[in-house]
Amino acid sequence: MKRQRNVMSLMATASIAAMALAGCSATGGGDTGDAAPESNEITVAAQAWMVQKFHMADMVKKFEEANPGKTVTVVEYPDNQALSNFALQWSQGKSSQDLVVVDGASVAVQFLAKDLIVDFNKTKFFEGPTAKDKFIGETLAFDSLDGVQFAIPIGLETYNISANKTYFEKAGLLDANGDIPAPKDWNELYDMAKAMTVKSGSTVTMPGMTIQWGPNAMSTMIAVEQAVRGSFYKSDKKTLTFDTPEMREVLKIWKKGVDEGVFSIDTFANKDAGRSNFNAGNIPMVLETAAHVPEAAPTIGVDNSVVLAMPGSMENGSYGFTAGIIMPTASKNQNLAMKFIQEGMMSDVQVAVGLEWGKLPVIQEHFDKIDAPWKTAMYDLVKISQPAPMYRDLPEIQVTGKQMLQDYLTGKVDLDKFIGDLESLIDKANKDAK
Amino acid sequence: MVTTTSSIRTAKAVQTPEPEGPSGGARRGKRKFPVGVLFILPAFLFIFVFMLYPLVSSGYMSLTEYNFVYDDTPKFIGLDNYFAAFQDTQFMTALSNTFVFGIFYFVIVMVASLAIALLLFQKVRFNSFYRSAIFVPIVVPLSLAALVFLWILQPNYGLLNYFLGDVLGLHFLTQPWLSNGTTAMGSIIVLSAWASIGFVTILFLAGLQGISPDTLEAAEMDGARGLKKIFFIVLPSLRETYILTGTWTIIHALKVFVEPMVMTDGGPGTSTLVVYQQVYLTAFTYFDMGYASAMGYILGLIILILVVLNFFIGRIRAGKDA
Repeated sequence: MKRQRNVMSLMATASIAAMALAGCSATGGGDTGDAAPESNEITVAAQAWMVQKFHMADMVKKFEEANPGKTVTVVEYPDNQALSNFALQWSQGKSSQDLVVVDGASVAVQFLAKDLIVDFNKTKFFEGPTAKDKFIGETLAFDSLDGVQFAIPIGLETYNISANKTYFEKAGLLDANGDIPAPKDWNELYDMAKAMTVKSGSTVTMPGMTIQWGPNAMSTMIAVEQAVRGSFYKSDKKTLTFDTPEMREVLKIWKKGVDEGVFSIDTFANKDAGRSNFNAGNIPMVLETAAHVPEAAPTIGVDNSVVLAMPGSMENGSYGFTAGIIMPTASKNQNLAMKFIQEGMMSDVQVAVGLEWGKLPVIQEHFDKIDAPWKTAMYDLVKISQPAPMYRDLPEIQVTGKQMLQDYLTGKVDLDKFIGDLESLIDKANKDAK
Repeated sequence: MVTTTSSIRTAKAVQTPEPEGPSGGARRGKRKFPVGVLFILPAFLFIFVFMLYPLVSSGYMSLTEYNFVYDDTPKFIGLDNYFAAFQDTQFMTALSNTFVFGIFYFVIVMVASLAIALLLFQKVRFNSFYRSAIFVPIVVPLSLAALVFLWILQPNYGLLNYFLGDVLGLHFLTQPWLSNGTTAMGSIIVLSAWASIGFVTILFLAGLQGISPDTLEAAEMDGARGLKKIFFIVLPSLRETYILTGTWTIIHALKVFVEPMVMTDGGPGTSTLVVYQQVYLTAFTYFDMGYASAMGYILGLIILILVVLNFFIGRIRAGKDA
């Protein structure tokens, strides 16, 4: 009996040890090591597409050459969901990353809640070559809330129509100057798309336009409403709404376009369908980030790939966004990390990024170096575009709102039900950022 | 002398062990016990740390309100998350879709696998090749298979529409397969069945090979041939295999995740949204760990009930047959 008790005690001890081991990961409270000296190495986490499109290897090379002995390691993370793992670690006062590049302000803002990320306004970041007046227009406001600069923007983009001029020419839609006339309203835009839609019998073989109704469907709705109405907020200027006469009119046209095959719904299943088809020269228009214009230039021709202002966008702007660079409070190498942002990420590497991928430089000096036909149109639009609302529950509005929109466009629910459900979703959402 | 020694050895070998006194046997048992414990300790620790602890921890989490990005500590709210789940249209839609998927998947996989196993059980030429071929989908990672299906089903340049339209001239059959709720769910079921049938077929084949050749021979001698032999001899002999394959298929049917995640993102709308996708979104996009845990537990309990039901139905039938 005694021996059995000993064995049981042994197993109980092992269990407690195991529990403590597992528990450590949940409640750690690890030492941030404030007193520890800074390392000469930093780690930057970014999604795979960011590493490629932001030319991060060039940024690192440039920085390391200018700062001998300093090392920057770029690690890839798969998607926004992976950030939850980072956040869990940060909430324990630890961080494997010194900088993280995130896809949009709405993703970054949630980490403000428990002060998990650094407020750049409380650092010396905005001194010298990255002083606030060096940034374009209101770019910094895209990643700022209540006086807190929670991220540094990189790669400025706006939603608008990327158009392939060849199709407009074939359909006789160009004006006397050989340009595409900007559609005055969505009915005109629908007519243009319909004129370029190709059918074989009753089957549509080429739709006139693809609209981003996939994971970024809510961004599309925000962009379109900003353009047609001048705001996507209620009169209180903080509550998102789509229950407006202008948006209802647009939604009716969208539904008609889907029913007739004029507007493609490929993006339901494949968010990149519009972009891939546009870059391959297979569709006349795509409404999502206008960055596809420079991106498609090498394949469809620099003169054929143009920005077409969606109705109202020239006057009211659109939805503007950037990727954001955030710095975890738990990073032990904050000075070196900030130096890398200033000298590597905000360097003239941004010019090549803008020219190749349409992700525009946020520093005015670099923007001015861009020489491309789309530059002025893009710049004019960027200046007046608005970021998405910084709600705590924005991710839920984006996911559920997309599902509701797709249900409406496929005829599962009518317009009133869709608008009603969407407004209810927005009403219930937590609209605080903190 | 040699003969004598050998006889003694043989005698010892077959000797019945002497009954041991109350202390002797127990002592020997006690001496072995700690060594045995050391052998099971790694497995015990593994199960405790990676299975039991997370299970208990998430069970507790499901009784709390806890957004780990915004909340400092979980707040105990009892069964509120469970009640909320059954009033949540998103969750109920996901649950209903999961059942629709599960029912079709279960029937297709079980029937098709059994049929294929019966065919492969026959002595035909290239039998080994067929058996290997049916197993091939198992070695293809599911996410990769889903991506390949995504391309095959692509409306403009996908292989399926090309084959239907350009090769067969059946343009009216071409579809935006993944942009229509019904065909999207159908496509996911087809992919999942394609990926699973090989494995379940192998399980059925193992069951078929376990049937005594004497039984089959006796049945044939009694005049049971062809379908008669299959329905009255072979199929009733697979009761235990049904329990195994049924359990495996139920679990795989209801824990579907990868296929809709990769192929449709739950769409169009919520047509292919399944429970684990909703759990994933709630946990890792909305960071609401408490509610996500509750939803996970609800599905876990449903799976448990169905598996137990499958087990007892199989056992009761086996008992009746006996």
